[in-house]
Amino acid sequence: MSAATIQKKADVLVVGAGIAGLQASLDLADQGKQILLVESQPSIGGRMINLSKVFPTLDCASCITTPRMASVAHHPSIDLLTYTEVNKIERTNGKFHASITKKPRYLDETACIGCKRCEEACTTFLPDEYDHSLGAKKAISIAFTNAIPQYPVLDMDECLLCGACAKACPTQCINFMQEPQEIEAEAGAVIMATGYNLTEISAKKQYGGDIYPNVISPLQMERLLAPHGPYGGVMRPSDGKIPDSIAFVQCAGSRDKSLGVPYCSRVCCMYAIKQAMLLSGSLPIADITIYYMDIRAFGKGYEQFYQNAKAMGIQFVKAKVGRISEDENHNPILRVERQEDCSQPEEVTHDLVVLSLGMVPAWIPDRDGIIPLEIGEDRFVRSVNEKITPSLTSMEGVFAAGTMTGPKDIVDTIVEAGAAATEAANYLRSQEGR
Amino acid sequence: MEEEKKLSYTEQIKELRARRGEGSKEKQERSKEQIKAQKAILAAIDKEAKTVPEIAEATGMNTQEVFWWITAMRKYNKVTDETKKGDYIAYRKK
Repeated sequence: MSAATIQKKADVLVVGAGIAGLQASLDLADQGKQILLVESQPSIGGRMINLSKVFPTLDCASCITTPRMASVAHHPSIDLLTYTEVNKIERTNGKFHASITKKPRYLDETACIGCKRCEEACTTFLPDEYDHSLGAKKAISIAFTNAIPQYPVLDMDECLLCGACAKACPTQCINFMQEPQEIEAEAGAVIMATGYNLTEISAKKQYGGDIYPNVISPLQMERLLAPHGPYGGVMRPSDGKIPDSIAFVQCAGSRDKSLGVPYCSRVCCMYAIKQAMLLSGSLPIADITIYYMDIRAFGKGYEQFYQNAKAMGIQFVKAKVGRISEDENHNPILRVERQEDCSQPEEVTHDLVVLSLGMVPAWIPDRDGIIPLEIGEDRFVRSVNEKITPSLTSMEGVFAAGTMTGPKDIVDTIVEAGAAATEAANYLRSQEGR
Repeated sequence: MEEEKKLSYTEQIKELRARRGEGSKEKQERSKEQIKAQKAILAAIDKEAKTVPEIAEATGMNTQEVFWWITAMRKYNKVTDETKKGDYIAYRKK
């Protein structure tokens, strides 16, 4: 039986605590607004905390994200709910009413001290979703080293019920019988910042992303490049070999009508170039090849970044990759048709291949419910005034931040999150006295 | 949220195991397999550091599975990187 429903009240409800949700929350909270920030994952930080470095400056992603995460967690005007789902948001009498469910972590958060003794004692290993299954975690584990908050989650579906975690816990905070907690919240405005997913690696069957162990996603490569990555360096998943030859296949999930993603995801060229540059730093003698249709270096300093990559010896081959197979040692074999010089199809073997997957919305209103915002042909939330106020959605008082409205890089995401916060503050002011 | 924490741990576990029924046995079997895999790998690298292909040869497991377990045990401080052997890292039991 679940405990009684908790009531909460805020000026603005922010859904999603990735970099956009964090920025919008901080901007509003610094203006004195009360924020209720809801995140479905066990930690805040979103996709960005998962990245190694950012382009074109090659700044450490964690060094940019972690201070914002800490500021949000300690801000007196931000009420943070993690591991919590928003089920429905309705607008009545000018106010938004949200039905929210806090999922059970199977522990008392007020007693947990984040000592990780439960994790050490647990004997059940599972693929770690933070490392995109390259690494392992325990059935009870804290999401990652610098997660905020530092509370573990017990995966009850995988738990052996051996009781080792409870025995190891110095504060007796484990509660195997914990139930979801229902919360009802009222807010004057809503900012949706639910972010993006990558297209499925299995979507393009001819690339075998779900079959061949050494054909990986760009987020898996981010983890390999991260200082605290699962392998402690760049190795390939099939056998731990340090790769001598790495290829990137561009537009492996975008600009492809057959996948339902006809648009350009905007950031794939740049993240592939960034990863290639980082690889050439960590594996100086490796051959790195980027197979591309055309390079789209659209932002400030991006073209120079691309030119620098070429100067570093990264090979850019204008070609279409028709299919990928593998040899008996799990070396991926790419069937390549060059679009310059000789167009005769050829087969090229590499040690490791990264598919540059595209961006799709993580939350789609007509698929996932919650709140009936209009969407565009690309399935992202439709901005009603894209050129002047891109954060305005089809519902008055609901604003979009970050990649809610389409693929964009981190710089644009943060700028638009700030814009969403400003629009929300203006909206609240316009509602005063009504 | 903590109101339901009335049963002792033993009682909680007993009740949840009863709810799970046969599912509990499946999980225990899987756990035994996990322990067996870890023991086999740790035995192979107890006296001498080995690469993933060498461990796979010694244990009869496939290289991908061996590497996943090496990654897991490395994270939880049971295995350490020793030296580089050709294109591979050799691992040793901690």
